[in-house]
Amino acid sequence: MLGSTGPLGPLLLDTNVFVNALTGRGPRILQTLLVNLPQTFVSAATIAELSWTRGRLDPDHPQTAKVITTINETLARIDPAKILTPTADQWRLAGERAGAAVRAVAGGTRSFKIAAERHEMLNDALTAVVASDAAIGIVTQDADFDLFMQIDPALEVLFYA
Amino acid sequence: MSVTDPAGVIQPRRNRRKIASSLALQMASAAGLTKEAKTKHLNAKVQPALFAAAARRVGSTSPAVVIEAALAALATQDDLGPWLAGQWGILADVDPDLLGQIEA
Repeated sequence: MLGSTGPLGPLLLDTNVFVNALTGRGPRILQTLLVNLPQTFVSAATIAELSWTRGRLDPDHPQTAKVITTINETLARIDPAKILTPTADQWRLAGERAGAAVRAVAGGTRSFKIAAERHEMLNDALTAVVASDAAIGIVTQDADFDLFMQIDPALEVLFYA
Repeated sequence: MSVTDPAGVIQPRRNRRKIASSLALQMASAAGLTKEAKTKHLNAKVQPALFAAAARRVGSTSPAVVIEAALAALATQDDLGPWLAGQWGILADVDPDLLGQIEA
């Protein structure tokens, strides 16, 4: 939940921010935050997740062109200098932390036996690592980032619901 | 100061404010805005409280350092956030099954 204490510095937008904004499913407080953001960063993992749409959507669906056009416009709006791309060391650390996060919750309500779940956790870990190293807070609704905050106390996350 | 995470990795605590101003300078540098010699002379009066607040964020009371950090922060601003807010709900009428493919 976005609290009364504002962000301390620059913010990185997780993939769900883009999807919830474009579909209008996000809370109004998220829109208010976006309006007032002077500087916005994006993880390379989010670029991949948004680009996934361009290959995944059914090309025969009458609304696919509209969605892809919107995604393309969104990607074009992202300043390449504001894309945080992980180094080899950050990939290694993200893998380690994704594993630690899965170990912490596996066997409970989640199994992580599906490859897509592991990939999503790894993408989240990559985003967490690059943001933390750059001292940039993350805006997300993804509760998995709470796990990464426990692993890395320097990580700052603004959750919205 | 440092902390130890569950995996045993030592992570340094960082001064977010100083890193944020440094980040703006790094981006300004990457954009080629700091390649030239410092020849532009500035002479301005500002409110002491405003300068002090900015100096605390930068971690220096040097006018040159504070002004450079402030200019870098301004020069590297972007409009992605406001633009995205302006696109709010542009895909609201799209078939939920098609949107579901984004997450599957």
